[in-house]
Amino acid sequence: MAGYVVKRLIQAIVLLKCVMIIVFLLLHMTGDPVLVMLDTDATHEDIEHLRKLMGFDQPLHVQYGRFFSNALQGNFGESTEHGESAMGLVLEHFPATIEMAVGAFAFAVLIGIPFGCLAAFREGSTYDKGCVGITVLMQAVPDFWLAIMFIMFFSVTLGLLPSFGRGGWEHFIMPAFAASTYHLARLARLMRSQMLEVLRQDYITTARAKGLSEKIVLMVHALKNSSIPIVTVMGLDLGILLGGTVIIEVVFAWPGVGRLVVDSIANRDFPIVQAAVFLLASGFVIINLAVDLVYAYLDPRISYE
Amino acid sequence: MKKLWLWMVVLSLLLLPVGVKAAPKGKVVLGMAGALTTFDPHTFSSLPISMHHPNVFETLLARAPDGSMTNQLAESYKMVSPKVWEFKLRKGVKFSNGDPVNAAAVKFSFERILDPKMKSRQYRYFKSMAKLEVVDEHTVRIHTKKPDPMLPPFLAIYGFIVPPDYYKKHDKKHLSRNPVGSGPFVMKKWRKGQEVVYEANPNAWRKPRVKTAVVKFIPESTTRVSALISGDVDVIDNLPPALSERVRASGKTDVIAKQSPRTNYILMVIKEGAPWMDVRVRRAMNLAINREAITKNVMMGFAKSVAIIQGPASFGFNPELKPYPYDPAQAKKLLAEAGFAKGFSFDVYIPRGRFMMGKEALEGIAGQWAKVGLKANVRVMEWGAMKKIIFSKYKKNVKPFLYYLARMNTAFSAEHMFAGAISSRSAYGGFRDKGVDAMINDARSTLDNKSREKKYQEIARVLRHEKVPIVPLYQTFRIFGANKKIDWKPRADGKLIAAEVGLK
Repeated sequence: MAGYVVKRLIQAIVLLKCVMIIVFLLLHMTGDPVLVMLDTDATHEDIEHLRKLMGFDQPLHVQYGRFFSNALQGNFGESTEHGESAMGLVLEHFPATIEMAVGAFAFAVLIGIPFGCLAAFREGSTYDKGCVGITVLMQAVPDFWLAIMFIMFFSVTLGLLPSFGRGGWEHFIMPAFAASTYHLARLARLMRSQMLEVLRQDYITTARAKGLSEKIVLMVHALKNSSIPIVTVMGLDLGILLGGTVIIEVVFAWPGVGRLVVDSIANRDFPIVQAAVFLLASGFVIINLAVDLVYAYLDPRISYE
Repeated sequence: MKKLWLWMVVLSLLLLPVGVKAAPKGKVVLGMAGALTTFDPHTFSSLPISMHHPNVFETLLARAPDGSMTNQLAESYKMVSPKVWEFKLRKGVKFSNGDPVNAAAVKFSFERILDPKMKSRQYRYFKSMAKLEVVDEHTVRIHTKKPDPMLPPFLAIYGFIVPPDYYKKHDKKHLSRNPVGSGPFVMKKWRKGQEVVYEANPNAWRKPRVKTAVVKFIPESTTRVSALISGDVDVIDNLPPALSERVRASGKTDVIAKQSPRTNYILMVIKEGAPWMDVRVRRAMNLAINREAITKNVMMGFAKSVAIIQGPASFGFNPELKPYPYDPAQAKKLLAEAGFAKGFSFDVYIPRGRFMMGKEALEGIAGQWAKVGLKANVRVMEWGAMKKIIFSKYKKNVKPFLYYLARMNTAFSAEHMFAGAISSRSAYGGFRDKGVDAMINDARSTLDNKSREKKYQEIARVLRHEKVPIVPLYQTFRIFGANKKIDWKPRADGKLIAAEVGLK
């Protein structure tokens, strides 16, 4: 097991390095940062002046070499728009992103999985049909539209919840739920179909024939065995939520990394984008590693050696 | 004895309104669309930033709400010789940390912008400065490399004065988060991406209208409108025309709008191989557009057509020039004369989500062009990617194209607009004409205000009637939503400055 973890960690480091090279090249392909930094009243002379000051006049490999040697020491450079450490800014925005991602993830897991299980246990019932209908709808409705409708209903019409921003739990409930809907519905549907498949297996019949109570059959034998694809999807969901709630962050004026990165891409603020991608990619790698380790626990037959 | 006592009461009553100004009270909450990235006043230039910094810092000159030039930290100024401006400073003004506002602070602040280590994006507005000279405690002289009549308008936007000792002592990060100036507010708290809290500056000579102003950053317009209607915020900026009816209908909130100096226009890459090398084609493209229909139906009345690229608030505006009329028959005739009776097709670029209703307006214009046989392919681009395309415009293998831009002319100057869109030294224009360049250079170096204004008006006439270098469209309004309890008049420069917002 330890050897496996070390091997995976080395792979992760190589992967992160590749990610950073790709991001660096992609960013430099998207256009000239100096053009975006100056307004349209700039003359060619102004543009060349700033390009030189910022060091963007040097060859690409020189720029990459400088970026990489700094990044190795944990220094992602200074944000060109904020004038301070890029990684510092990303870390400052990270708690808000984690708060929303974990909240949305909790909604998805705590609501989605029980709903999916119940639907499977009562296959064909009105509850099951309703559950399938609602989850299809939840996956189909765009989250930004749902978010806007939430604000109109809960903040403008009822006056119950604040319309935007980050603060206490009352600020958190609408954005986290809006961000969770797609993932919640997908988990519920996947849970239902996995559970139905497992319930048809011989070992479930065997367990029932042994005289085990229905509760133990479902909770121990069926749930654990139907969990492997669920855990995979949960890992992906958490990764996506950590890196991709940009639209929800914008709609609710939530001060997370997603909004910072989108603004920074528009402003060609390369250091922030690089720092954020590094952080999010690391997070994704760690989650994937954790998912693989959970597999081993859930199904000891999965061997890594 | 009794009489003396009475006299003292009368005297003190008389002195009261002069000596003790009532401290500001109350609190307003603003919801603004643009992001604030730094409180260092000397590094960046953007409209969102320029709406925050004037709360905390002051400039030598400023714009009154009606757009006219006023003095701020300067008490008076004059040109002592063509290359020397002299500013007398207001006496007794202190920064919020107690340091005096003096000539040394002005010199330090401008030199900080010019310092290459600062990599300042305001450098281009100050690059004509050669030397700063402290004459005495309250007199400072700016020596320029060439005569520069354009200096005052930019000193009304940039060049915020800061206390030298404080700004020398601290590093960049500290300064970007902990500003010290002489403005009506001090910055109390700033949570990036969330909010800024301003409090009345006890040392200020200009008082804010309220004690506390909070600015919340809300990028999404439907959320800003919801926040306004639900009462979470009192004023919002960047209200899209389509949502203005919701704000009006709520009963608790009003729409406040004013024509801004943001001119929208379509530029052409005028080079060999372009049908619009022929001035008749350029004229036809202008006559085929029904500007009134666009401003009325697409902009919902929140825009006003312009004759060339300036609005009435701008220096050098020529009131005799009218926008191009809508005359498709004449446009067709001109196209036929130029040999394009069957029309032609071309690409026209516009950045995504950058200019108010820009894409919708351009699609409308493309429809109007289609009626005279001009087939415009509207291409919506990301801003940075579009800038890259604009910069390739004169390359041999690049097919001539058109592009929609808008420019906020907060300097209210013809020079700023001509240099940025018409002159051939402009990086973003597509028109090159030696005669017009010479006229622009001549006007810029004319020191007398009256004759300079005349020269700009003449350039505008030549452009409008003879050269037709661009497709001028309209100036958009800055549209705000405000709770009925708010007492605030919109500014001519379109800025929402928290210190000017009051309660009824």
